[in-house]
Amino acid sequence: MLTTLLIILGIIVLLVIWIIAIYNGMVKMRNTVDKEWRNIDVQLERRYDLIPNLIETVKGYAKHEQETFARITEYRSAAMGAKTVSEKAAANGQLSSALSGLRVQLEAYPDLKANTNFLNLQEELASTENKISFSRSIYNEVVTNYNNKIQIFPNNIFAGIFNFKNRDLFEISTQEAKSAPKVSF
Amino acid sequence: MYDLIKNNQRKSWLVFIGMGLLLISLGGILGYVFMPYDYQGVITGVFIAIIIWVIQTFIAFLGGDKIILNMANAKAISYDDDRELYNIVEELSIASGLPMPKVYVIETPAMNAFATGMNPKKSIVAITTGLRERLTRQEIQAVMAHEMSHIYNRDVRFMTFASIMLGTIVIISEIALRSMVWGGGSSSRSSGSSSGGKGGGGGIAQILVLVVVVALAILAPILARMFYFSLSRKREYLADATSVNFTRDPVSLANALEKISGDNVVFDPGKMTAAMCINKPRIKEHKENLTSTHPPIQKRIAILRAMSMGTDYNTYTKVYASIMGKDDLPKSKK
Repeated sequence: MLTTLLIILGIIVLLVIWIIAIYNGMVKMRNTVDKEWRNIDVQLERRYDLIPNLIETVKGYAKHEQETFARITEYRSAAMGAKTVSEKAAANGQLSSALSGLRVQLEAYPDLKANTNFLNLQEELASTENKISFSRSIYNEVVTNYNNKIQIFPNNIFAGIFNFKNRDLFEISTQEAKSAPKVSF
Repeated sequence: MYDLIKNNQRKSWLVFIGMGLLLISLGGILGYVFMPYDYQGVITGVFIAIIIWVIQTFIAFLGGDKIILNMANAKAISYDDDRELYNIVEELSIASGLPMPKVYVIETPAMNAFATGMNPKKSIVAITTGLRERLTRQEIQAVMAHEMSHIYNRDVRFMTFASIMLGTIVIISEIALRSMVWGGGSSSRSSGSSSGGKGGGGGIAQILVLVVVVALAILAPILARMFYFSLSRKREYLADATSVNFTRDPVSLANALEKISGDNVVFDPGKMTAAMCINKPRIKEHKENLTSTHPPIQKRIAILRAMSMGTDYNTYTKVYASIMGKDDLPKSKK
């Protein structure tokens, strides 16, 4: 009688330890996802900060590009207002392509090349875009690992109980991703 | 990619142990020859070999990071000194997940770049002004990614160990050969007289042993050197592969290497650091060797130019295999 009780107790203890291990594993991976997301977010914020400065500097030279400036400002506000990861990804994708469009248009103003302020801003923006792109691939990798972790059996049972949810990838349209960190001036 | 680092580290230890065994047997055999028919000779030889090795390791650990500080024309740069360069390294530290290394610029028209530091937390990347001025932003990114790859793959420590081991083998062999010329006469005379009583057989055996030892003392450094340089060359291909994996831009690395291949200025960052350069530094003529720390730059360019199917590590190894006609780079599971 006592032995049976002890065996049952032993099994319960082992089960609890097993569940704790699964739970801790999922928590660790979720924290990594959060950390990598913050790394992207820092760079996105940096880009939002740089854009008004750039437009301010360029305005005086490129008077014919008002339309582009307005569009970029609009996309910027949209990106800043975006809540979820996929919304942010989509809005920032738009912003990136608008910025590379501006870059091409600014080629027509050789005077800008002599403006150190402009050159510094361009460098910062280029670097920030590279950083976003590099952080993005790391983020997507850890999100994929995390999603796999919480979807496989039997983890999915506990993921349901403890409320672990799938995370979205930070995906930008394929055309954008292909031309990734190539930025030149 | 992480399984590759583990693979590299495992191989590093194998090489480390292999060279250690070679070193110890070299010491043991030499000890045996100088004090034949006595185990103390073997023990003394092994002991001396290990002591030389420990001292060399110690010096390397103490002096490793100081190599760059001893370069009169090297200067640590901050964000304000060179924003573009600093930004590029920062981007790569994000891409590789490595801590931000110190960035140095070396004032010389030579075109080169290197990495140093025994662990990723205390590492340094450096580029010469000659190279800095000639490259576009993407090309600098490619070159610095190659250097960060040496840190990422833990090549600095590995090649330093290998270089210490090589240095020790060279020293012991030199000691052995020299003492045979200067002191060998007396030791063979005294042992000759002691074995004289036993008859001529011992003398012939002695001569045979002596021949073997001389051959060993001459061959060991040559073999060790060949081994070291072949390791170094493989590390270069691996650093190219890792670099492209980070930047996804093989073309820029190929373009940068093409510009670098036109370099004709003497640049000597020291023996240990030479293996970490982007290309073989052009050292003074009398120091040139048949062996080289770096593979032919044209081969490296050809591989990078042929990478049309992708930029991940395994694409590189496939292209490498088809161009080199051999498939001897480690595989990644991912």
